[in-house]
This record gives sequence, C-alpha cells and structure tokens, in this order.
Amino acid sequence: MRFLRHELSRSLVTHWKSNLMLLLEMALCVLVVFVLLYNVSVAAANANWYKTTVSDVNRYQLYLAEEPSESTDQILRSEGEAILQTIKKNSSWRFYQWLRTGFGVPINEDGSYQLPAIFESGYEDGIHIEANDELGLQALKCAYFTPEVFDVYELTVSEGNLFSQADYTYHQGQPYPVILGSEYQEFFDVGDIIDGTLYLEHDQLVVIGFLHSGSFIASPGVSTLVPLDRYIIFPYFDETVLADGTIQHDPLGKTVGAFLWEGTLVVTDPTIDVQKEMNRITNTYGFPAIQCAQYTGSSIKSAEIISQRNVALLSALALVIISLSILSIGMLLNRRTRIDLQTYGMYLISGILPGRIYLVKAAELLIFAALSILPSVWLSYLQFQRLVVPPWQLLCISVPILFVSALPAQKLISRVNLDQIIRRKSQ
Amino acid sequence: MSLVTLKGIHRYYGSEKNKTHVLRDLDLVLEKNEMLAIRGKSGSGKTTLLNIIGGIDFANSGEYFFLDQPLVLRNQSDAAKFRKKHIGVIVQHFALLDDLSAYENISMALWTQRISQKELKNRVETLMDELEILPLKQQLPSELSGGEKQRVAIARALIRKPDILLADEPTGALDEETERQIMAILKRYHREGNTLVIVTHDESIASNCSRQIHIRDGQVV
Repeated sequence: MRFLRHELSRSLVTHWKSNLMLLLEMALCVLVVFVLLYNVSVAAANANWYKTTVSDVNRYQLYLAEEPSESTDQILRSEGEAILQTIKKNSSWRFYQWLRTGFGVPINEDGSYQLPAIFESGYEDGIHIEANDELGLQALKCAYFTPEVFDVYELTVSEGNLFSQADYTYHQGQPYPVILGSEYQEFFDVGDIIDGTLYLEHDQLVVIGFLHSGSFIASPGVSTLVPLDRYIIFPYFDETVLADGTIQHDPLGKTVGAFLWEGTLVVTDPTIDVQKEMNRITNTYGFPAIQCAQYTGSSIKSAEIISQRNVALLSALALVIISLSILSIGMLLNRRTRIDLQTYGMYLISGILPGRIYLVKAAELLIFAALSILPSVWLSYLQFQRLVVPPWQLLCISVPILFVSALPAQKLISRVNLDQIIRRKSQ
Repeated sequence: MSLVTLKGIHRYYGSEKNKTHVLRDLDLVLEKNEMLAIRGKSGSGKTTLLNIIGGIDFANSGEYFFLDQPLVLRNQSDAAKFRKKHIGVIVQHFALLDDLSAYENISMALWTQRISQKELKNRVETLMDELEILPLKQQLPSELSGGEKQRVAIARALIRKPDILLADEPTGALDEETERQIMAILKRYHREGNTLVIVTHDESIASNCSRQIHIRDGQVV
C-alpha cells in the first residue's frame, strides 16, 4: 500500500499535464461512445421492436369515408356501438384503439416546472410548450389505451401492474389509474397520487405501474415509432360509475373515435380482403363506408431498414473512434513511461518487483477510466435527468481502451535495462 | 560452500556476425564474508561482471551457481525476486530518487514488504543512526552533500540485509576525505561478517579489500 500510495501520487503529480490530456481524450472518447451507445440502443430497440411486433403484421387504420354530417351522426348514435362490437368480434383481425391527449400538472409557486420540460407534450418535435401562467399548468403527454394495445405491442411493466378489467370502469371522484413511462420512475413510485387537470380543475391520478424502458407503439401516418418512456397511459374507459352509483354508459365518444383515426385493425388472417369484409359489416347496418387504410407496408419496412442501418453505421463509427483513441492514448502513455523509466529502474534496483509496478499502473488506469465516464454521466443527467447508459457499460468501454492503450507502455517497463540505467546514471 | 560461482561466463553485445565481447569464458568464485575488489580499465567489463553477479544483466552463456545451486533467471521478474532476496546495490552517482526524502529513499526498499509502520521506522532509523545520517532524514537528495547521498544509498542497499553488497565505483564521485569515510563504513560492514564486491579502478580502494581480481579484455588475469 505504501508503494501504491507513493507511486500513484508521484505519477499523478509529476505528469499532471499529460494526465490531464489523457483524461480529456478519454472523456471525449467515452462521451462519443456514450452518445453512440445511446443511439445504438434506441435504434436497436426500434429494430428489434419492428421485427417482433410490426414488420410481420398487416395494420389498417379505420376512418369514415365521408365527413360526419347530421345523418351520419344519427346513425352513429343508433348503430355505431353495434358496428364497433361486430368489428371487435371479427376473428380475422384484432381491433384496438388509442387516443393521444394531455394532462396538466401545476407549476410550482416559484414558476419552475414540477417535472422537467422533457415530459412536455411536443418536446420530441422540438416544440416547447410554454408554461401557461394563467392556468399555471404544464402539459404532459398522455394516451388512452384499450386493453388490446398492451397485447398487440407486447407492452409490459417493469414495476407495478398493467390495468385490470376493473380499471376500464371509472368511478367518479376516484383517482384515475395510470401507468407511467419508464422515465417517470425517477420521480414517482407505485401508489403515488399526481394532482393535475384532466377534465376538471382538480383531478388525481394514481400510479399503478411503470412500463419497461424502450416501449413503443406505432402511429398511423408516422414512419417512426412513438416512444412511451415519457407518456402517461390511461385506460380507455368503457363506462363511468357516477357518485350516486348510476352507471353512465356513453359509448358515442369512443365509437366516433374508433371510426375517426383512433381505430386500428391488426389482421391475423392473411387471406382476408379487409376492405371487402368491412364493407360487408357496414352494409349490414346500412352504415356509411369505413375506409381501411393499410399503414404497415413500405413506411414501416423502410424505417426498420434505416434503423438497422443506423445500428451498423453507429457501431462502425464507434469502432473507428475507439481505435483512434487507443492509438493516441497509447502514444501518450508510452511517452510518459519513457520519462519514468529511470524511476522504475531505481524501484527495481531497490528490490521492488515488476509486478508491483504493473499493479500501480493498473490502479492508475482504473482511476482514469472511472474519472473519464463522469462527463458522460453529467451529460446524461443534464439531457435525460437519468442515466440512459449504465455506468458499467461506459466502464466496459473505458477500461479496455485504457488497458489496450497501455500495452506498449507495459512492454516498455518489462524491458527496463537496469545495466544501461546504472551506466547512464554513472556517466 | 561458495556464495557465488561463475563458470565460463560469456557476455557480448551486437549481432551474431558482429559481436563485441565484454566477458569471455570468465570463471569466478566469491566466498562468504569476502570483500572482493574488481579492478580494470574503463571498458574492461568490470561493471558488466558486477551486474551479472547481481542479476542486473544476463550472461549469454555460462553457468551461475548461488550457494552451490544453479541460478536460472528466466526474466526480469525472476531477476527482481533474486535481487530482492540477496542483493544490495550502490552506484557511483547514488541513484537516489530526487522527489523522496533521505528517509523515504531508504524505506522505499521495504515498502512492498509486509512489516508494520513501526518496525519499518525502527529499522530505517537504526540504520540511519549507524551511518550517522539520522539528522538528515527529512532532507531531499538535492540538499545533501555527495558523501551524505552515498551514505543514504548504502543505507538503502543494506536495509533489506542482503547476502552480497555490490558497489560500482562507490567513491568515484567523492572527495578524498569523504572517500575515506565511505570506505570505513564498507570495511566495518565487511568486518561484521558480510560479503562485498567493489568495482574500482582506484588502487587505494582495492587495497582495502580482502582480495583483488583484475579484468582485462573480459577475462580475469
């Protein structure tokens, strides 16, 4: 320990300039790799998700062929629910419905947000929703999901539970059960109550679970996926139990939504003509035509290919950067070791074994490896308020880079020629 | 039982075609409690011989017996272990680490040994006291005279109680008075029953030793 302490402090102080340079280079390298790793992980998750849940299925979005009018409104009221139930029961496909909305959480008295801005609706699109000072609210991203959405997209929770059947009935005055995206996990626990505004000025949500990180769903008209990590998920309620016990069953809103862009079919029978089958159903009820627009074809396929290409490109770029860093850091360590050869020679003459010197050098490299990940950790917290790439993954990059870079320097130490050192000193 | 026996030692530099022989077929026996002076002109191979005895340099061919047992040093690690156990080295220009105090330069040799801080302090201070350098324990090498530096170097070499103390021109950089003091220390060390090998070209230094050998063209003459 005495030797370790002495040699570490000597080396850190004597070579402070090259140490600083080394640390900067390493930090930069880890930072680049961190960004790449993050993107690779997102792209890989996308690619994997496409492969498992999207690419092999046919997806159709439903919408009314004609603009809603008085006559369609009337028929929707009278026949809409029956048609929706018929569509749901058809064994040729699976029907699901989801709706994007917003939930307002109050802004603190000092004007700061209760939650970081990244949770705001529109944040991913580069649109920062300014705090509404009059209402004093911050708009968060929400979505209502019917139960099928969780099955179709294989959505599971990392903590807590998914919605039970009972959760699809809302009890007036009770908090709304919600499942939060994984990034909320840092701020809330299962069972927490979140105050805010959904329909009324003061609504409450109760957290029942958290989705796994990297959960997505597909969205019609958008070739990329919708990441759910920053979403609040509500059950798409079937009915409401009022305070006096009356059950309010008002399916109109949900039915209208189902035929106006919210409803999606995932076709399970590849032999079926989807539009023909839909026409058969609507004709039975004398209902206006419902168009079935396929959206899983080329747009999602091409997104999958782009996603996979991104993984390959980013990985190649990471390899190039790591190789360059190894070269550069290797030269730096080599130069530093040459300066120290005389000292190492003195250690060896004094009876200190080479293994001890290697041990100290290894400890020094581990310190550098640990320090070099700090900027990435800082950036992660700054950008995402959490560690998007675990520190052990960053260490898995920084430690091998440093140890491979140090190989020539280590070889140099192993070849210290004491005879030459003694003679040089004696001249 | 001999402490060191060298048989047919060859040491050369350069390529196979263009060899420069430093030691040729050299034989040497070093007995326990001997104070051996190795003399010779500059370039005669005396430092090379000293380094081979100390496991600092390696012979190209020949046999090395330590306490009548063949000594095979396959790599630097083997050599370092051998030196740690048996050899103490002092050189002409002291080879002290400039950023360490006199005390630290001496205690450094014990840093990797499993002894308590108290024992380490006791051993270093006792030795420094014997060599009359205890008051200088906090001084850096740059603050010491040549004689004081060499005493520190001797203390560093002796602190691990080696079987052989190797000294390469130990008084080469010192004035006459200091030279006498250093030689007195080395002779006292020899009288206490220890083995020394001194490389010198100085006849007066060599005359203090119990035996002298001369090296010429890489051979004992």
